[in-house]
Amino acid sequence: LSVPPKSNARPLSPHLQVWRWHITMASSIFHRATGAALYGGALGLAAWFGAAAFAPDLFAQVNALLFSPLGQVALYGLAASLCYHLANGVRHLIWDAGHGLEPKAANSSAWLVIGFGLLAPLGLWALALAKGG
Amino acid sequence: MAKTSSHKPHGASHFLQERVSSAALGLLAPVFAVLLVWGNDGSLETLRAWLSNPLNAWVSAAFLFVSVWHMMMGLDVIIDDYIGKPGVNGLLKTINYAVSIAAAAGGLWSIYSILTSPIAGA
Repeated sequence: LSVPPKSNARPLSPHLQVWRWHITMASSIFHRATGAALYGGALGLAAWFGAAAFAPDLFAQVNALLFSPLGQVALYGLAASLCYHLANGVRHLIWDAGHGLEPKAANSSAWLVIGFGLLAPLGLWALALAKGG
Repeated sequence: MAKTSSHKPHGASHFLQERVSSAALGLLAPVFAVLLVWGNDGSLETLRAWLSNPLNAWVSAAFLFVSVWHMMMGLDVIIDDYIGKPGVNGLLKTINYAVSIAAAAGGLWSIYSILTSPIAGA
């Protein structure tokens, strides 16, 4: 039995190093990256509810951390991930319906969802401040 | 030729579940985020009181449950994309299912527990 050679010198898929970054590519990569971050976020949310239900001391420690400057930055990252993944998810659903697939439209919508992801969390913080929390 | 891996390809059912869960989360996520931020001040007492309102409890439970369902499918796809070895692929997916089910079960149990006894320690 012959073992196939490990590499046969043919090019593999288009390589990261020879690709110019463009916005639709970035929006696709961000979708996966934010999705992975939100996996951690959902586990954190479940654990946060768990601490609220069964471990008040742990809950107090975690919340002190969440309201520290570093915790707020982490929460902003999580909120931005959620807002981005949500907006880009809607973009995918619109694509599934057969709309917005032209390069020009796809480029514009990529910028739109990135802007939404970065700015929409500020609305949540504004809401928290508005009610005086 | 790449070695054929043992995992099943994702079919129409997977595609539909992704879309249905996406559409549900498109509604649940903003509602959850706004209700949570609007109804809380960071204290345990307020969170427990907030969760003892059935609307907030149901929105939280639905958001958590559909999120976990959606993310379990999402990580499955990521595992398939990067892990071709059947053994490792299967092991990672099993861990994904176990972690997801534990998170959903634990989270829902916690919400139910607070809904039925809002005062901490009661």
